[in-house]
Amino acid sequence: MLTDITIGQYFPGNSLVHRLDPRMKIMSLLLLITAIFIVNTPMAYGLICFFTLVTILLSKVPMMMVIKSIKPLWWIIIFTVLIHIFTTPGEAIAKVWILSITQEGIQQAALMSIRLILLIILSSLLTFTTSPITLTDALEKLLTPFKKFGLPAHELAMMMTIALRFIPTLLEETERIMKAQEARGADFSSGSIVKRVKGMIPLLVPLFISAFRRADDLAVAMEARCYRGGENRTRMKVLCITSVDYKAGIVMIALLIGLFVLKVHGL
Amino acid sequence: MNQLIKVENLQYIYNENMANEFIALHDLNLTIHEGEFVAIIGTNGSGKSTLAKHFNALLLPTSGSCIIDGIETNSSDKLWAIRQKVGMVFQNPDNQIVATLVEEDIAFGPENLGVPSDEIKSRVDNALRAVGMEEYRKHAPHLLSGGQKQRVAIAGALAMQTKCLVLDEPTAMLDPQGRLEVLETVKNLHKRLGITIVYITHFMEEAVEADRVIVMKNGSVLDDGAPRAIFTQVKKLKELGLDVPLAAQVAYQLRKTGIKLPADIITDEELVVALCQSF
Amino acid sequence: MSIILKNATYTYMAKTPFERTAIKDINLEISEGEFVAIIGHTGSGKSTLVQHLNGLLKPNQGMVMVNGVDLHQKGEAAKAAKRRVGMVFQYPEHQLFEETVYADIAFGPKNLGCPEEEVDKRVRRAMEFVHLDFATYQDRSPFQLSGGQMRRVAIAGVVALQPQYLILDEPAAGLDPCGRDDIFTKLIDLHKKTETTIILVSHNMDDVAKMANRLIVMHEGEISLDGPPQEIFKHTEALKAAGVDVPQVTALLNRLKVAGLDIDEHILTVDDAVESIVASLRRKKSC
Repeated sequence: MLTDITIGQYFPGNSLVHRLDPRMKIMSLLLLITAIFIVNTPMAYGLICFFTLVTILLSKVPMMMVIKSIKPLWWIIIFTVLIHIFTTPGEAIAKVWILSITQEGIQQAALMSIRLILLIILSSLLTFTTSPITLTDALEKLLTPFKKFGLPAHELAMMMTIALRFIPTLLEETERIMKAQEARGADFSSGSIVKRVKGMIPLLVPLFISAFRRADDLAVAMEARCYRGGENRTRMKVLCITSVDYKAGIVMIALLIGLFVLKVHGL
Repeated sequence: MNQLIKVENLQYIYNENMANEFIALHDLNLTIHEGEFVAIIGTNGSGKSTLAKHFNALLLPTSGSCIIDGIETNSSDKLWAIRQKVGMVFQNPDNQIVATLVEEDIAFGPENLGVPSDEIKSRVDNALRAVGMEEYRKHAPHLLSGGQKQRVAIAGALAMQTKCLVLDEPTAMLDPQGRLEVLETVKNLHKRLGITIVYITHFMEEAVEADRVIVMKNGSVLDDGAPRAIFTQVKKLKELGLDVPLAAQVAYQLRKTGIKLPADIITDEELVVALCQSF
Repeated sequence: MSIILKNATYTYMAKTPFERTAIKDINLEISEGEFVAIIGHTGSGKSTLVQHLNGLLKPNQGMVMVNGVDLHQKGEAAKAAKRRVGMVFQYPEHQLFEETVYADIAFGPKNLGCPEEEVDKRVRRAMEFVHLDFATYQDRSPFQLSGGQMRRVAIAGVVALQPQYLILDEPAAGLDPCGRDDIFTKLIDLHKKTETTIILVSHNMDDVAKMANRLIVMHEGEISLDGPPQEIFKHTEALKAAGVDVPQVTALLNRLKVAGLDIDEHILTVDDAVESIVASLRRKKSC
């Protein structure tokens, strides 16, 4: 069912990782992603994997949920692995039909899949431990310096909040309209591609109309509640950096220095 | 009593000077005092919603004036003061909740007003308590029932410390349970906190609860009085296409057959008592 | 000819933490020509139940049969059986999508593969049924109509399928008293003139009590009461448990009876109630 999809799922909790300032978490994630793409030795990956594992344990998010987060992207991982195994030039160790498997290919495939898995796990850890609203708050704060260059930081964050709020509502609506048109004999699942695309019109038109109507209603409701953009706006929950965040920052820096040292020594 | 809403010779025209011009409100005069509970009834297209949007300066008069607590809605620099005084609750419970958490949504209004963080927290607490939704503060709005969503919307207005709540058919999309919840909440706010209520509805059993009922037709006020005075005019309301409370209708029909009954019956209780006395 | 549900059970999001059984082991037969109202409060399973009747949902256990055909078997027979059952969802005006009223109503019949002249005939008939003048409205955009008119176009779109069984989920929700009475009169008409079986889902007893000749009360995914309206209203306790009110007329007559008036409390319309009260008062006076 469509409503089973969960985007940016949040796992409520009060662990150390949950309590960290979201800005800290976003910055750390960005640094880690960069690091993952720079390093290329087993030692360095080992270190990052160890760090990730410790973070998962500290977050108290069940291991099953973490593993499940990889599931939707499983196909991409397999695809990358296959491409690398078969297309990396080098010393062939086996042959399948006209394709040859090389030692380098296997290494490259392993490297890429670990990179991808780490990427997915670390990003989901961010959404698991940070509620959507604090996440958008943090993004707004982090983007504020770019306002000088004309970046609408507040508007972007507000758009994200509203999108998160309305995704479930619109999914529900999609399902209802689909059923209603099916009851009138519409067919969404058979025939040629052209026929299928044409068949989507009875679904898409009502859906767009409904989304616009909702947007209209919401705009009026927001105006009635004195919304006038980001100027002079206060927040109920103020983000603040605490000693936990400083400690986490120190750990992050130590990790990065560690990775740098490994890189310099070619390990 | 202080005049909270004063409407004078109000006219409102949609799409003025265009082919599809439509006069929604004609030369309307109306005064609502602080602390009143007013119900507005009328068929679709009678101008109820258009009028309600004037109370919050979402629409501005084409001609005439609308004065809220001494401020003309036309004076654009006072717009936010007016909207803070008059909170709105709309028909569709899904389309007025902004945030992904109940408490965040209630905080939305005060945040826009620039209220300091600590005060927002206490206002949110109070608003949640006033509508009886404390235990749902961390819930996602889309998982609540219709009645609960409307109570969240009401709390959102309360958190702005509004003097007046304008509810535009808040129960039209709800089930009987949800309708009852919303009506009880509104009655409670009127009684306990003295908030002025303007309640637009199609359901006569809800309008009966008000102190004063305004009947609208074709963009003007047709009738204005206590529920008892309005709902005993069975014939007139039926002709307008409106419902009447059952007891009023039965009493009206009994009177037509020659049975002597008092002219002001609107509840079952009153009808039973009157009938028992007549035999 | 009938719709039969045999031991039907349906569970949403089975095998997840959000698992919720919406209907439990339902056995039900709705025969041709009936006017059935299904009543229950939100979450009682009534909407889930009716979505089984035209195969939109497949029961996890049990079966659904329309005119003797299992809806979930493979092949053309099941498809044809599904088409016997039309369904008007809540707020059906949200499913309009065509540029003209005519095209939108014709969408269903065209999907059924009706030839051009048959489509035309059906659209005309459906528009006549919902009282939309063919000449005036056929080329209008449905989105420029009033809310009540849009609702009527949407209902016409399902009526044009000429179903043998017509299910309507809260067809009067959000309409003013005029619009509500209008829709209900049309339904009674349709039932009388074409002998279409009508299955009405509602949470409002007052609306349906006068029209339906059979009421089904749903509570927590099960059928708690099933029978003619007069029978159902005797079970005040079960109704209360299901969170459903007796009609206002019944409530009033019950109070009068308790107060000592000799009247028939099974009356469902205002006119009959007045008549009964008058008769009872006369009897009192004469003795």
